Amino acid sequence: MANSQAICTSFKVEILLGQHQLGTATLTSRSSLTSPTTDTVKAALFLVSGSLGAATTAYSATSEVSGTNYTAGGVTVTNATAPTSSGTTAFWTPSASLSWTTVTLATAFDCVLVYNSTQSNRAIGVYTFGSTTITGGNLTITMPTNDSSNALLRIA
Amino acid sequence: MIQTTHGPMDEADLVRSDGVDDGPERFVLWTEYALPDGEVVYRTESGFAKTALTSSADANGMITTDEQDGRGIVMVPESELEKVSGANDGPDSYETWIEYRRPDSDKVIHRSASIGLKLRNPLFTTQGQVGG
Repeated sequence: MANSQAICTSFKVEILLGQHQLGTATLTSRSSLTSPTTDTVKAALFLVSGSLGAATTAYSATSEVSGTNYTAGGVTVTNATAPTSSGTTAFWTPSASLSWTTVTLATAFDCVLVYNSTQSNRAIGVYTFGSTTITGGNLTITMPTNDSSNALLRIA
Repeated sequence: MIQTTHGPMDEADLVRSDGVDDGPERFVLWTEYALPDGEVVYRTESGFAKTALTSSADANGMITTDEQDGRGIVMVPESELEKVSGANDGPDSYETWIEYRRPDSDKVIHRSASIGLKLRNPLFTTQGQVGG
């Protein structure tokens, strides 16, 4: 098996079911009608030996990386910019790069799963990159420009 | 509406093209809208520069390592280490990395990396298309 880049099929369905809330809702929230909240999005790293892809429905620790200063479940994604649209394309991108500092991840990894930790860890997207390792150092996954042509998550 | 070189135009009246220029120095995603005769009236692009990591030293010139002693993570002056940096230009990403070793050892005691994702247009459509 191998990891493959995809927006998870389950996420497409869950958008229609209203099971993800990446920005504060204007009218209603599942938490409160008067104090709407934004779901917490997280990002976790997975080994080359993993099999994440379109069929991934939720975060699982199976095949997740492990090492010094890496916390299972990954990091909280900075989400200061709510989803929006331009033309016929809706889009969303984390408002800061994904970063891990002073980590040692000795076993090769090649993908990051972005998922909704507020909503039962439901999967959002799997993003692959070249196999790499980190030794007592920093890993940065740079986020693209948040627009309809480049955003991390685009629904056209 | 698209703000074109001829003023605002309805997106439905234009022909959209998306592409990728994967050059030696930059990775660029672009989108163009053209009139039916081919004249490009709107273009937007973004991406990232394929720049190298040049140092992992902190403000004091120290490098963190994967080693620990009784006081915690071992820090070593950058000037005492051998440094190698490079890049891996793959189909899904551009990784720039930097490694440090002690002069008398082949063991990498620090490796940092920065990854730019080569996302294609469109990444996801309602038809489920991925890549492009």
